Amino acid sequence: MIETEEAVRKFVEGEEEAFGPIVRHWERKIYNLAWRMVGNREDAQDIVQETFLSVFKSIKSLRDPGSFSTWLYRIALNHCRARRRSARFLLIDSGPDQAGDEGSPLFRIPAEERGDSVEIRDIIQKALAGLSEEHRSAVVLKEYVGLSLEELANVMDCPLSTAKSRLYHGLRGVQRNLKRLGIIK
Amino acid sequence: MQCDEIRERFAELLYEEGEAPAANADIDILDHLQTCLACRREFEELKQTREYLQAWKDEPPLRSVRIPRHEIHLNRRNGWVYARYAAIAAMALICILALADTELTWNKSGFSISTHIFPRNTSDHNYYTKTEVRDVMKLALDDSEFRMNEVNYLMLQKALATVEQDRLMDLQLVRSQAAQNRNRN
Repeated sequence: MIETEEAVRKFVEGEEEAFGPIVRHWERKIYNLAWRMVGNREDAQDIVQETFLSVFKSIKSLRDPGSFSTWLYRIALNHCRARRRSARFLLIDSGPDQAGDEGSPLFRIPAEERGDSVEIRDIIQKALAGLSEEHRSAVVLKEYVGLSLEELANVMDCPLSTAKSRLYHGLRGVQRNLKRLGIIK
Repeated sequence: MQCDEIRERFAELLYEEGEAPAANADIDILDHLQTCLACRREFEELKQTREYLQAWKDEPPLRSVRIPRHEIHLNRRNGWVYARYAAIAAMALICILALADTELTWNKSGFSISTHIFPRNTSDHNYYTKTEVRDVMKLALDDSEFRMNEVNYLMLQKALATVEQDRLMDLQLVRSQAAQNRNRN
């Protein structure tokens, strides 16, 4: 993390070469975050590209290099949100994710991603897809990115208790979706 | 504590991130779990859900991030653009300050025009008082009257000299005519 801070500081001071290490350190994390948020590898890759382009353009406005990771995750989540709002991933009204009602529609998964074989990843993807934006972000940031509850609250820009609540409801949503898919009894 | 309140805090126990003092916070939840079958069951299901979520493993990105060449150029140019704007702004500011503090002065030292970037302290005693201005004006008027009188005097003197000269010439003529008459007789 200190290396990132150093690289960010150098880049802000005008050393363009410092951007390479920043990308190398973070692109995998951002890619996997985006993949779980949008459920499509190509779109996740586009989000990584857009995220780092945004970072490249506006990193000079970042006052505290120590808060780079929080800032980066926020940018990535904003791009994920924008991507999900786009026509391809337009949500069909999914209703409350805690309802657990039969046939609650998940978000549309592109045809090329859909396969007959029910892989674990696809099931998780479907279970996550039924969550609201906030609950999904909380689950992904905690389970896959590995943020602490405090970091999660910072990235989501909400009080700690709200972050805990969102995470709990997110996990509950996943649990219900998994039950509906017959994975958990 | 109510079941709802406990469940909202499940994240603390699930991720072992209770607030300080951690032990007390967790004990509350654990005590409740021992007595409440529904909450215990839900907690176990959430643990199971977490385990299931972990089955979606990270993968490397499809491609490396590339920053377009024009963005790099734009980024490099930004510094110069800002420097140019800063120079123009500084010049404009100096002009405004200079114009705002341009001074036309007529005092005991004489008439002057001066421009200052910053206001300067001026001492009042350099300037004429009302009485002094009146005296100066009177002096100037007197002076102009004196000069006028002097011019008139000189003109009169010149006129008198011309008259005198004419008189002498007439006298000379009369004398010469008288001499001619005497000789003829």
